[in-house]
Amino acid sequence: MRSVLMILVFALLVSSPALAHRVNIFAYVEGGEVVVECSFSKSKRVRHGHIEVRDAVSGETLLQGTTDAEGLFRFPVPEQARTSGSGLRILLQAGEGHQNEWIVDAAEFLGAPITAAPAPSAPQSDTAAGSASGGNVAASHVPGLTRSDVEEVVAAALDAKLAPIQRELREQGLKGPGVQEIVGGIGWIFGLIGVAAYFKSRPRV
Amino acid sequence: MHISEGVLSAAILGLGAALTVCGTAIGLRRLDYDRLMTVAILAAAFFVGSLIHIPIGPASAHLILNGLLGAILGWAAFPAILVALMLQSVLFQYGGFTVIGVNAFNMAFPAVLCFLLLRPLLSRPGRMRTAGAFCCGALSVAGAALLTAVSLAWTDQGFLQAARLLFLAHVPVMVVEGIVTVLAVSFLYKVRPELLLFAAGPEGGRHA
Repeated sequence: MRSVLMILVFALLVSSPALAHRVNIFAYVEGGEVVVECSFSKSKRVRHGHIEVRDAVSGETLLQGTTDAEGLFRFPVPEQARTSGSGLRILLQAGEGHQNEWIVDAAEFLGAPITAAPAPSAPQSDTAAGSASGGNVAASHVPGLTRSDVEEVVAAALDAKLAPIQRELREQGLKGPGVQEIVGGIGWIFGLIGVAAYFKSRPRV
Repeated sequence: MHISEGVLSAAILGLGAALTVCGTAIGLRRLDYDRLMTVAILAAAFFVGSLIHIPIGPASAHLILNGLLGAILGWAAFPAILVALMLQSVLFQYGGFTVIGVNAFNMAFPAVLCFLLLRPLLSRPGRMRTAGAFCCGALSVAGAALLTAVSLAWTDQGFLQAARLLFLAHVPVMVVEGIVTVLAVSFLYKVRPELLLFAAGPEGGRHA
């Protein structure tokens, strides 16, 4: 008995809480960064889960990384995704056969400001220049403000406003099965057995 | 234990599906009309059992109950587990649809094996049955962890690491399931002995 207890204690100390039914992944664009949140359930985050970011269309791997202790992984929107205009497919491997993915639509990050890009590539500066000339009418009244400044402020305000909605969406994804699913599933089982019983029943004489 | 979609290679998925089809066919062939309701109740128990987490310390794994199904149903555990896993994947998004074959085999085969090996113990009265039921519950979980680790052996993670994590996290589950199986089997033996395959008399193995 004592040895069993010892094993139990040992197991609890050593094992990582990595076992669940499924792993959840949720990603959103904040500023110029994509934030990926990974969790097994509301309270259990995926620590050191392997993340792979791929081009949603070509399937080419753009970057890789691991989540931190909070189950978060941040990365700047890759140049390549901006230029190609295809979305990002974010793949999470959490070990023990747990895997999930999330697709970030290109529309989500194409409007985002460039933050971590060291040198903006040619097409981006082109579009920036083009839009700046278009926005000159509005911006000309306030000489100190460029269009990109305004965009940044608006984006920050929008991020703040949308944060609760994002949180709600995230929690919806994390919600376990409800009573409906459970009762429905049990109903299915008994229904199937009913069908089996019908076919297996002996004809009455 | 629920391996997700897209982790395993096509060869393993195919092998798992083929083995599950064989097991299910055997299970269905040996299934009596009179025992259909038992199968339904236990399939429902398995279906719901995965929602019950054992919150001991930081490690919380969920119940599997495959040993209980094996101890009571024998080969019929295969169709019961298959149906329950299908519904779990459709309704709860546990595991994935293409992985059902592998997942079902991983959970059902150790249970059936335990039943076949431990039947001599289970059919004896008293302490022997208790010991047999406990082993059936606990070892089925261990076997499922082992088979899951084997399935993951060809992924990046490798066999040893997966096996270590799966085993450690399932030690509490093994203990709890052993106890659950003992309680269920001894209760059924008192109340409804005809439900238990191994207790069905000297020719009890006929439909096992």
